[in-house]
Amino acid sequence: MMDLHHVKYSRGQFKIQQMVFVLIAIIILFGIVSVFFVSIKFSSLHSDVENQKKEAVLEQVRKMAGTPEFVWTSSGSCAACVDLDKLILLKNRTSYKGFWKDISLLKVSRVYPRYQTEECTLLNYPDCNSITLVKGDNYESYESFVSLCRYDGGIGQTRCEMGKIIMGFEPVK
Amino acid sequence: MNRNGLDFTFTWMFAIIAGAVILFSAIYITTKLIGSSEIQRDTFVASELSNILSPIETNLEDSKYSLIEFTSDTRVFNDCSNSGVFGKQEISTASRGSIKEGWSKQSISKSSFNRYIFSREVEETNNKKMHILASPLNMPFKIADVMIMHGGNYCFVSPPDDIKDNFLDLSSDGARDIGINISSNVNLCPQNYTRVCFNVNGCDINVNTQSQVVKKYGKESYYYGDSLQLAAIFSDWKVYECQIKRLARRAGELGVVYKSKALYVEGSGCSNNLVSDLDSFVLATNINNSREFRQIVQIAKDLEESNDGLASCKIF
Repeated sequence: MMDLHHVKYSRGQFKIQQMVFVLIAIIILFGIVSVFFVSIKFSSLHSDVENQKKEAVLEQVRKMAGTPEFVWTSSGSCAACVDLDKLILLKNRTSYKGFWKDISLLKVSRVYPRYQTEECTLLNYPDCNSITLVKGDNYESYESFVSLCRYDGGIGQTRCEMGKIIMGFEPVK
Repeated sequence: MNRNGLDFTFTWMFAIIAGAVILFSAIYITTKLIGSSEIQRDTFVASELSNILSPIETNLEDSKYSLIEFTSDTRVFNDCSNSGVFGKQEISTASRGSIKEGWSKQSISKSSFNRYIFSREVEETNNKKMHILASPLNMPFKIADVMIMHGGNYCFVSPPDDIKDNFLDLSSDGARDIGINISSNVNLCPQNYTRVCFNVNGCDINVNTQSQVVKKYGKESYYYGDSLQLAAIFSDWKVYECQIKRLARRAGELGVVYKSKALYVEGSGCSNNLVSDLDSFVLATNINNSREFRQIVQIAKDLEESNDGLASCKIF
Protein backbone atom coordinates (compact mmCIF):
# COMPACT_ATOMS: atom_id res chain seq x y z
CA MET A 1 0.00 0.00 0.00
CA MET A 2 1.25 3.50 -0.81
CA ASP A 3 2.08 5.80 2.10
CA LEU A 4 0.55 9.18 1.31
CA HIS A 5 2.96 10.92 3.67
CA HIS A 6 5.82 9.87 1.55
CA VAL A 7 4.48 10.79 -1.94
CA LYS A 8 7.16 12.63 -3.82
CA TYR A 9 6.09 15.45 -6.11
CA SER A 10 8.17 16.30 -9.14
CA ARG A 11 9.36 19.90 -9.62
CA GLY A 12 7.04 20.26 -12.61
CA GLN A 13 3.96 19.23 -10.61
CA PHE A 14 4.91 21.65 -7.87
CA LYS A 15 5.23 24.49 -10.39
CA ILE A 16 1.82 23.67 -11.92
CA GLN A 17 0.29 23.71 -8.44
CA GLN A 18 1.94 27.05 -7.77
CA MET A 19 0.63 28.40 -11.08
CA VAL A 20 -2.91 27.19 -10.34
CA PHE A 21 -2.86 28.96 -6.98
CA VAL A 22 -1.66 32.17 -8.62
CA LEU A 23 -4.36 31.85 -11.31
CA ILE A 24 -7.08 31.30 -8.72
CA ALA A 25 -5.79 34.31 -6.79
CA ILE A 26 -5.87 36.44 -9.97
CA ILE A 27 -9.40 35.27 -10.83
CA ILE A 28 -10.60 36.03 -7.30
CA LEU A 29 -8.96 39.47 -7.50
CA PHE A 30 -10.63 40.13 -10.87
CA GLY A 31 -13.93 38.91 -9.41
CA ILE A 32 -13.71 41.29 -6.46
CA VAL A 33 -12.77 44.22 -8.71
CA SER A 34 -15.64 43.33 -11.11
CA VAL A 35 -18.19 43.15 -8.29
CA PHE A 36 -16.97 46.50 -6.99
CA PHE A 37 -17.13 48.03 -10.49
CA VAL A 38 -20.59 46.62 -11.24
CA SER A 39 -21.99 47.82 -7.90
CA ILE A 40 -20.70 51.37 -8.53
CA LYS A 41 -22.04 51.28 -12.09
CA PHE A 42 -25.47 50.06 -10.96
CA SER A 43 -25.75 52.63 -8.20
CA SER A 44 -25.08 55.43 -10.70
CA LEU A 45 -27.48 53.81 -13.20
CA HIS A 46 -30.13 53.66 -10.47
CA SER A 47 -29.86 57.39 -9.74
CA ASP A 48 -29.67 58.26 -13.46
CA VAL A 49 -32.90 56.36 -14.20
CA GLU A 50 -34.63 58.00 -11.25
CA ASN A 51 -33.49 61.44 -12.41
CA GLN A 52 -34.77 60.71 -15.91
CA LYS A 53 -38.18 59.67 -14.57
CA LYS A 54 -38.34 62.74 -12.35
CA GLU A 55 -37.34 65.03 -15.20
CA ALA A 56 -39.99 63.47 -17.46
CA VAL A 57 -42.74 64.11 -14.88
CA LEU A 58 -41.54 67.66 -14.17
CA GLU A 59 -41.54 68.51 -17.87
CA GLN A 60 -44.95 66.93 -18.43
CA VAL A 61 -46.72 68.44 -15.43
CA ARG A 62 -45.90 71.93 -16.75
CA LYS A 63 -47.39 71.16 -20.16
CA MET A 64 -50.28 68.92 -19.16
CA ALA A 65 -52.89 71.72 -19.19
CA GLY A 66 -52.17 72.26 -22.89
CA THR A 67 -52.67 68.64 -23.99
CA PRO A 68 -55.79 67.90 -26.09
CA GLU A 69 -57.39 65.78 -23.37
CA PHE A 70 -56.99 68.50 -20.72
CA VAL A 71 -57.12 71.81 -22.55
CA TRP A 72 -60.11 74.13 -22.17
CA THR A 73 -60.96 75.83 -25.45
CA SER A 74 -64.70 76.51 -25.16
CA SER A 75 -64.40 80.17 -24.19
CA GLY A 76 -61.37 81.91 -25.60
CA SER A 77 -57.71 81.13 -25.18
CA CYS A 78 -56.43 80.14 -21.79
CA ALA A 79 -53.00 78.56 -21.43
CA ALA A 80 -53.51 77.09 -17.99
CA CYS A 81 -57.19 76.16 -18.09
CA VAL A 82 -58.26 72.55 -17.77
CA ASP A 83 -61.60 71.24 -19.05
CA LEU A 84 -63.07 69.48 -16.03
CA ASP A 85 -66.11 68.21 -17.97
CA LYS A 86 -63.85 66.38 -20.40
CA LEU A 87 -61.78 64.85 -17.60
CA ILE A 88 -64.73 63.37 -15.71
CA LEU A 89 -65.93 61.79 -18.97
CA LEU A 90 -62.43 60.63 -19.79
CA LYS A 91 -62.02 58.98 -16.40
CA ASN A 92 -64.11 55.95 -17.34
CA ARG A 93 -62.72 55.52 -20.86
CA THR A 94 -60.87 52.21 -20.88
CA SER A 95 -59.08 53.15 -24.10
CA TYR A 96 -57.05 55.71 -22.15
CA LYS A 97 -55.75 53.10 -19.73
CA GLY A 98 -51.96 53.15 -20.02
CA PHE A 99 -52.04 56.19 -22.31
CA TRP A 100 -49.91 58.29 -19.96
CA LYS A 101 -46.84 56.12 -19.96
CA ASP A 102 -44.45 55.98 -16.98
CA ILE A 103 -46.87 58.01 -14.88
CA SER A 104 -48.05 56.40 -11.67
CA LEU A 105 -50.24 59.29 -10.52
CA LEU A 106 -52.29 61.69 -12.60
CA LYS A 107 -54.86 63.66 -10.73
CA VAL A 108 -56.63 66.97 -10.95
CA SER A 109 -57.65 68.50 -7.66
CA ARG A 110 -59.69 71.55 -6.73
CA VAL A 111 -57.89 73.94 -4.39
CA TYR A 112 -60.79 76.34 -3.77
CA PRO A 113 -63.70 76.02 -3.07
CA ARG A 114 -63.54 72.61 -1.40
CA TYR A 115 -66.43 70.14 -1.23
CA GLN A 116 -67.09 67.36 1.25
CA THR A 117 -66.74 64.56 -1.28
CA GLU A 118 -63.18 63.93 -2.30
CA GLU A 119 -63.18 61.76 -5.44
CA CYS A 120 -65.45 62.67 -8.33
CA THR A 121 -67.77 60.19 -10.02
CA LEU A 122 -70.42 60.84 -12.65
CA LEU A 123 -72.99 60.81 -9.82
CA ASN A 124 -71.46 63.43 -7.52
CA TYR A 125 -69.77 65.64 -10.18
CA PRO A 126 -69.24 68.63 -9.97
CA ASP A 127 -69.68 68.75 -6.15
CA CYS A 128 -66.40 66.95 -5.51
CA ASN A 129 -62.71 67.77 -5.26
CA SER A 130 -60.57 65.41 -7.35
CA ILE A 131 -60.56 63.47 -10.58
CA THR A 132 -57.96 60.70 -10.56
CA LEU A 133 -57.03 59.35 -13.97
CA VAL A 134 -54.04 57.22 -12.99
CA LYS A 135 -53.13 55.90 -9.57
CA GLY A 136 -50.35 53.47 -8.83
CA ASP A 137 -49.21 52.17 -5.45
CA ASN A 138 -45.96 54.01 -4.98
CA TYR A 139 -45.15 57.45 -6.34
CA GLU A 140 -43.28 60.69 -5.86
CA SER A 141 -45.49 63.55 -6.99
CA TYR A 142 -45.22 67.09 -8.35
CA GLU A 143 -47.90 69.73 -8.80
CA SER A 144 -48.76 72.56 -11.13
CA PHE A 145 -51.46 75.14 -10.44
CA VAL A 146 -54.18 75.56 -13.08
CA SER A 147 -57.72 76.83 -13.53
CA LEU A 148 -60.41 74.16 -13.59
CA CYS A 149 -63.15 75.20 -15.99
CA ARG A 150 -66.57 73.66 -16.70
CA TYR A 151 -69.98 74.62 -17.98
CA ASP A 152 -72.19 75.56 -15.04
CA GLY A 153 -75.88 75.03 -15.88
CA GLY A 154 -76.88 76.98 -12.76
CA ILE A 155 -75.43 80.25 -14.01
CA GLY A 156 -75.66 79.33 -17.71
CA GLN A 157 -71.99 80.01 -18.42
CA THR A 158 -68.45 78.87 -17.81
CA ARG A 159 -67.16 78.63 -14.26
CA CYS A 160 -63.43 78.43 -13.55
CA GLU A 161 -62.01 77.57 -10.15
CA MET A 162 -58.54 77.25 -8.71
CA GLY A 163 -57.00 73.81 -8.93
CA LYS A 164 -53.87 71.84 -9.55
CA ILE A 165 -52.59 68.98 -11.65
CA ILE A 166 -50.70 66.39 -9.64
CA MET A 167 -48.38 63.98 -11.42
CA GLY A 168 -46.21 61.29 -9.93
CA PHE A 169 -43.65 58.76 -11.01
CA GLU A 170 -42.71 55.47 -9.45
CA PRO A 171 -39.25 55.65 -7.86
CA VAL A 172 -36.78 52.96 -8.89
CA LYS A 173 -36.71 50.13 -6.32
CA MET B 1 16.19 13.33 -22.10
CA ASN B 2 16.83 16.71 -20.49
CA ARG B 3 14.36 16.94 -17.56
CA ASN B 4 15.14 20.59 -16.94
CA GLY B 5 14.37 21.43 -20.54
CA LEU B 6 11.03 19.57 -20.45
CA ASP B 7 10.08 21.27 -17.19
CA PHE B 8 10.91 24.70 -18.59
CA THR B 9 8.93 24.07 -21.77
CA PHE B 10 5.82 22.78 -19.97
CA THR B 11 5.78 25.61 -17.40
CA TRP B 12 6.16 28.21 -20.10
CA MET B 13 3.50 26.60 -22.27
CA PHE B 14 1.11 26.53 -19.31
CA ALA B 15 1.90 30.15 -18.43
CA ILE B 16 1.45 31.27 -22.05
CA ILE B 17 -1.92 29.48 -22.42
CA ALA B 18 -3.19 30.75 -19.06
CA GLY B 19 -1.90 34.27 -19.80
CA ALA B 20 -3.51 34.25 -23.24
CA VAL B 21 -6.84 33.12 -21.78
CA ILE B 22 -6.72 35.88 -19.14
CA LEU B 23 -5.64 38.50 -21.68
CA PHE B 24 -8.30 37.58 -24.22
CA SER B 25 -10.97 37.41 -21.50
CA ALA B 26 -9.96 40.88 -20.32
CA ILE B 27 -10.08 42.26 -23.88
CA TYR B 28 -13.46 40.57 -24.53
CA ILE B 29 -14.96 41.85 -21.25
CA THR B 30 -13.62 45.37 -21.85
CA THR B 31 -15.06 45.42 -25.40
CA LYS B 32 -18.41 44.21 -24.09
CA LEU B 33 -18.36 46.80 -21.31
CA ILE B 34 -17.58 49.59 -23.77
CA GLY B 35 -20.40 48.33 -26.02
CA SER B 36 -22.90 48.14 -23.18
CA SER B 37 -21.88 51.55 -21.82
CA GLU B 38 -22.38 52.98 -25.32
CA ILE B 39 -25.88 51.45 -25.46
CA GLN B 40 -26.55 52.78 -21.96
CA ARG B 41 -25.37 56.27 -22.94
CA ASP B 42 -27.43 56.24 -26.15
CA THR B 43 -30.49 55.00 -24.27
CA PHE B 44 -30.12 57.97 -21.94
CA VAL B 45 -29.78 60.25 -24.93
CA ALA B 46 -33.05 58.82 -26.35
CA SER B 47 -34.74 59.28 -22.98
CA GLU B 48 -33.37 62.83 -22.63
CA LEU B 49 -34.55 63.62 -26.15
CA SER B 50 -38.01 62.36 -25.27
CA ASN B 51 -38.03 64.54 -22.13
CA ILE B 52 -36.76 67.59 -24.03
CA LEU B 53 -39.65 67.26 -26.49
CA SER B 54 -42.23 67.87 -23.72
CA PRO B 55 -41.51 71.59 -23.23
CA ILE B 56 -41.40 72.03 -27.00
CA GLU B 57 -45.06 71.02 -27.25
CA THR B 58 -47.37 73.92 -28.02
CA ASN B 59 -50.00 75.37 -25.79
CA LEU B 60 -51.64 78.37 -27.45
CA GLU B 61 -48.82 78.98 -29.91
CA ASP B 62 -49.23 78.49 -33.67
CA SER B 63 -45.82 76.90 -34.02
CA LYS B 64 -42.57 76.58 -32.15
CA TYR B 65 -38.96 76.00 -33.09
CA SER B 66 -36.22 74.45 -30.98
CA LEU B 67 -32.65 73.49 -31.64
CA ILE B 68 -31.27 70.44 -29.88
CA GLU B 69 -27.51 70.10 -29.63
CA PHE B 70 -26.04 66.69 -28.99
CA THR B 71 -22.61 66.01 -27.52
CA SER B 72 -21.65 63.82 -30.48
CA ASP B 73 -22.93 63.05 -33.96
CA THR B 74 -26.16 61.18 -33.39
CA ARG B 75 -28.62 59.13 -35.37
CA VAL B 76 -32.20 59.20 -34.14
CA PHE B 77 -34.29 56.17 -35.11
CA ASN B 78 -37.96 57.02 -35.49
CA ASP B 79 -40.14 53.95 -35.09
CA CYS B 80 -43.87 54.27 -35.45
CA SER B 81 -46.28 51.45 -34.81
CA ASN B 82 -50.05 51.27 -35.19
CA SER B 83 -50.64 48.53 -32.64
CA GLY B 84 -53.00 49.23 -29.76
CA VAL B 85 -55.58 52.00 -29.44
CA PHE B 86 -53.26 54.97 -29.99
CA GLY B 87 -50.33 53.30 -31.70
CA LYS B 88 -46.85 53.88 -30.40
CA GLN B 89 -43.98 56.28 -31.01
CA GLU B 90 -40.55 54.87 -30.27
CA ILE B 91 -37.26 56.71 -30.46
CA SER B 92 -33.79 55.32 -30.05
CA THR B 93 -30.36 56.68 -30.86
CA ALA B 94 -26.89 55.66 -31.95
CA SER B 95 -23.84 57.86 -31.74
CA ARG B 96 -20.52 58.13 -33.45
CA GLY B 97 -18.19 57.17 -30.64
CA SER B 98 -14.89 58.77 -29.75
CA ILE B 99 -13.34 55.43 -28.79
CA LYS B 100 -14.57 53.21 -31.60
CA GLU B 101 -14.77 54.12 -35.26
CA GLY B 102 -18.24 54.18 -36.83
CA TRP B 103 -21.68 54.18 -35.27
CA SER B 104 -22.59 52.50 -32.02
CA LYS B 105 -25.38 49.94 -31.86
CA GLN B 106 -28.96 51.20 -31.76
CA SER B 107 -29.98 51.95 -28.19
CA ILE B 108 -33.01 50.67 -26.33
CA SER B 109 -36.01 52.69 -27.43
CA LYS B 110 -38.11 55.11 -25.43
CA SER B 111 -41.77 54.84 -26.26
CA SER B 112 -44.80 57.06 -25.87
CA PHE B 113 -48.43 56.95 -26.96
CA ASN B 114 -49.10 60.68 -27.12
CA ARG B 115 -46.23 61.91 -29.28
CA TYR B 116 -46.08 62.20 -33.07
CA ILE B 117 -42.61 62.73 -34.50
CA PHE B 118 -42.34 63.26 -38.24
CA SER B 119 -38.88 62.62 -39.63
CA ARG B 120 -36.91 60.17 -41.71
CA GLU B 121 -36.75 56.66 -40.29
CA VAL B 122 -33.12 57.39 -39.42
CA GLU B 123 -32.52 61.10 -38.92
CA GLU B 124 -28.93 62.20 -38.56
CA THR B 125 -27.70 65.31 -36.82
CA ASN B 126 -25.85 67.90 -38.83
CA ASN B 127 -22.93 69.38 -36.87
CA LYS B 128 -24.43 67.62 -33.82
CA LYS B 129 -27.60 69.68 -34.23
CA MET B 130 -31.21 68.63 -34.68
CA HIS B 131 -33.99 71.05 -35.56
CA ILE B 132 -37.48 70.62 -34.12
CA LEU B 133 -40.60 72.34 -35.42
CA ALA B 134 -43.78 71.85 -33.42
CA SER B 135 -47.25 72.96 -34.42
CA PRO B 136 -50.70 71.94 -33.24
CA LEU B 137 -53.06 69.99 -35.43
CA ASN B 138 -56.56 71.39 -34.99
CA MET B 139 -59.32 69.41 -36.70
CA PRO B 140 -61.45 71.22 -35.45
CA PHE B 141 -60.27 70.75 -31.86
CA LYS B 142 -56.65 70.20 -30.94
CA ILE B 143 -55.72 66.62 -31.75
CA ALA B 144 -52.01 66.65 -31.02
CA ASP B 145 -48.76 68.42 -31.66
CA VAL B 146 -47.11 67.59 -34.95
CA MET B 147 -43.39 67.45 -34.22
CA ILE B 148 -41.06 67.70 -37.17
CA MET B 149 -37.48 66.65 -36.54
CA HIS B 150 -34.77 67.20 -39.13
CA GLY B 151 -31.02 67.48 -39.30
CA GLY B 152 -31.09 70.40 -41.71
CA ASN B 153 -29.75 71.02 -45.21
CA TYR B 154 -33.10 71.60 -46.89
CA CYS B 155 -33.56 74.07 -49.71
CA PHE B 156 -37.12 75.28 -50.32
CA VAL B 157 -37.56 76.64 -53.84
CA SER B 158 -40.14 79.43 -54.06
CA PRO B 159 -42.39 78.26 -51.23
CA PRO B 160 -45.85 79.83 -50.78
CA ASP B 161 -45.91 83.08 -48.80
CA ASP B 162 -47.47 81.56 -45.67
CA ILE B 163 -44.66 78.98 -45.39
CA LYS B 164 -42.02 81.63 -46.09
CA ASP B 165 -43.53 83.92 -43.44
CA ASN B 166 -43.70 81.06 -40.95
CA PHE B 167 -40.01 80.24 -41.50
CA LEU B 168 -39.07 83.90 -41.20
CA ASP B 169 -40.94 84.12 -37.89
CA LEU B 170 -39.35 80.93 -36.55
CA SER B 171 -35.88 82.00 -37.62
CA SER B 172 -36.33 85.53 -36.18
CA ASP B 173 -36.16 87.01 -39.70
CA GLY B 174 -33.24 84.84 -40.70
CA ALA B 175 -31.08 85.56 -37.64
CA ARG B 176 -31.36 81.96 -36.44
CA ASP B 177 -30.45 78.93 -38.52
CA ILE B 178 -33.44 76.58 -38.66
CA GLY B 179 -31.79 74.25 -41.17
CA ILE B 180 -33.85 75.48 -44.12
CA ASN B 181 -32.67 77.70 -46.98
CA ILE B 182 -35.16 79.55 -49.10
CA SER B 183 -34.22 80.00 -52.72
CA SER B 184 -35.94 81.42 -55.78
CA ASN B 185 -34.31 78.95 -58.16
CA VAL B 186 -33.40 75.24 -57.96
CA ASN B 187 -29.94 75.98 -59.34
CA LEU B 188 -29.22 78.37 -56.49
CA CYS B 189 -29.63 75.63 -53.90
CA PRO B 190 -26.33 74.59 -52.25
CA GLN B 191 -24.97 71.17 -53.18
CA ASN B 192 -25.96 68.15 -51.04
CA TYR B 193 -29.09 69.96 -49.92
CA THR B 194 -32.47 68.25 -50.21
CA ARG B 195 -34.38 70.42 -52.68
CA VAL B 196 -38.10 71.00 -52.20
CA CYS B 197 -40.12 72.43 -55.10
CA PHE B 198 -43.61 73.89 -54.91
CA ASN B 199 -45.99 73.40 -57.85
CA VAL B 200 -43.10 72.63 -60.22
CA ASN B 201 -41.20 69.40 -60.73
CA GLY B 202 -37.48 68.77 -60.78
CA CYS B 203 -36.61 68.59 -57.08
CA ASP B 204 -36.00 65.70 -54.66
CA ILE B 205 -39.34 66.52 -53.08
CA ASN B 206 -42.17 68.04 -55.08
CA VAL B 207 -45.17 69.64 -53.44
CA ASN B 208 -48.43 70.24 -55.24
CA THR B 209 -50.33 72.77 -53.15
CA GLN B 210 -53.44 72.50 -55.37
CA SER B 211 -54.02 68.79 -54.90
CA GLN B 212 -52.26 68.88 -51.49
CA VAL B 213 -49.84 66.10 -52.31
CA VAL B 214 -46.16 65.72 -51.50
CA LYS B 215 -44.27 63.49 -53.93
CA LYS B 216 -41.05 62.09 -52.56
CA TYR B 217 -38.94 59.35 -54.12
CA GLY B 218 -41.91 58.08 -56.15
CA LYS B 219 -44.33 57.93 -53.21
CA GLU B 220 -47.23 60.27 -52.60
CA SER B 221 -48.29 61.62 -49.22
CA TYR B 222 -51.55 63.52 -48.87
CA TYR B 223 -51.82 66.35 -46.40
CA TYR B 224 -54.22 68.83 -44.92
CA GLY B 225 -53.04 72.18 -43.57
CA ASP B 226 -49.62 73.74 -43.12
CA SER B 227 -48.37 71.56 -40.27
CA LEU B 228 -49.08 68.31 -42.12
CA GLN B 229 -47.62 69.74 -45.33
CA LEU B 230 -44.29 70.25 -43.58
CA ALA B 231 -44.65 66.88 -41.87
CA ALA B 232 -45.04 65.18 -45.26
CA ILE B 233 -42.00 67.05 -46.63
CA PHE B 234 -39.66 66.16 -43.78
CA SER B 235 -40.67 62.57 -43.09
CA ASP B 236 -40.29 59.28 -44.88
CA TRP B 237 -43.47 58.00 -46.50
CA LYS B 238 -43.69 55.05 -44.09
CA VAL B 239 -43.34 57.24 -40.99
CA TYR B 240 -45.82 59.80 -42.33
CA GLU B 241 -48.51 57.24 -43.17
CA CYS B 242 -48.12 55.55 -39.78
CA GLN B 243 -48.29 58.82 -37.82
CA ILE B 244 -51.31 59.97 -39.81
CA LYS B 245 -53.17 56.79 -38.86
CA ARG B 246 -52.18 57.35 -35.21
CA LEU B 247 -53.38 60.96 -35.37
CA ALA B 248 -56.71 59.82 -36.83
CA ARG B 249 -57.15 57.35 -33.98
CA ARG B 250 -56.43 60.04 -31.39
CA ALA B 251 -58.92 62.29 -33.17
CA GLY B 252 -61.47 59.48 -32.96
CA GLU B 253 -60.94 58.99 -29.22
CA LEU B 254 -61.15 62.75 -28.60
CA GLY B 255 -64.27 62.84 -30.75
CA VAL B 256 -65.88 60.28 -28.45
CA VAL B 257 -64.96 62.39 -25.39
CA TYR B 258 -66.35 65.56 -27.00
CA LYS B 259 -69.52 63.70 -27.96
CA SER B 260 -69.98 62.66 -24.32
CA LYS B 261 -69.34 66.27 -23.30
CA ALA B 262 -71.92 67.53 -25.82
CA LEU B 263 -74.49 65.13 -24.33
CA TYR B 264 -73.49 66.04 -20.78
CA VAL B 265 -73.78 69.83 -21.21
CA GLU B 266 -77.03 69.35 -23.10
CA GLY B 267 -78.34 67.71 -19.93
CA SER B 268 -77.26 70.85 -18.02
CA GLY B 269 -79.48 72.99 -20.25
CA CYS B 270 -76.86 73.91 -22.83
CA SER B 271 -78.41 72.92 -26.11
CA ASN B 272 -76.16 72.00 -29.05
CA ASN B 273 -76.68 69.83 -32.08
CA LEU B 274 -73.19 68.46 -32.31
CA VAL B 275 -73.79 64.84 -31.30
CA SER B 276 -74.61 63.50 -34.77
CA ASP B 277 -71.78 65.49 -36.36
CA LEU B 278 -69.37 64.15 -33.77
CA ASP B 279 -70.65 60.63 -34.47
CA SER B 280 -69.84 61.09 -38.17
CA PHE B 281 -66.47 62.55 -37.25
CA VAL B 282 -65.60 59.51 -35.11
CA LEU B 283 -66.66 57.13 -37.90
CA ALA B 284 -64.57 59.03 -40.45
CA THR B 285 -61.42 58.69 -38.34
CA ASN B 286 -61.20 54.99 -39.19
CA ILE B 287 -58.71 55.41 -42.03
CA ASN B 288 -56.08 53.33 -43.81
CA ASN B 289 -53.90 55.99 -45.41
CA SER B 290 -53.25 59.72 -45.70
CA ARG B 291 -55.57 60.04 -48.72
CA GLU B 292 -58.47 58.91 -46.54
CA PHE B 293 -57.41 61.33 -43.81
CA ARG B 294 -58.78 64.13 -45.95
CA GLN B 295 -62.29 62.67 -45.60
CA ILE B 296 -62.24 63.92 -42.00
CA VAL B 297 -61.52 67.46 -43.17
CA GLN B 298 -64.99 68.37 -44.44
CA ILE B 299 -66.70 66.92 -41.37
CA ALA B 300 -64.22 68.82 -39.17
CA LYS B 301 -65.03 72.07 -41.00
CA ASP B 302 -68.78 71.49 -40.53
CA LEU B 303 -68.21 70.72 -36.87
CA GLU B 304 -66.20 73.89 -36.39
CA GLU B 305 -68.92 75.96 -38.01
CA SER B 306 -71.65 74.43 -35.85
CA ASN B 307 -69.57 74.87 -32.69
CA ASP B 308 -68.72 78.50 -33.49
CA GLY B 309 -72.43 79.21 -33.79
CA LEU B 310 -73.00 78.21 -30.16
CA ALA B 311 -72.69 81.29 -27.99
CA SER B 312 -71.88 80.23 -24.43
CA CYS B 313 -72.32 76.52 -25.00
CA LYS B 314 -69.24 75.78 -27.10
CA ILE B 315 -68.03 72.22 -26.74
CA PHE B 316 -64.49 72.91 -27.91
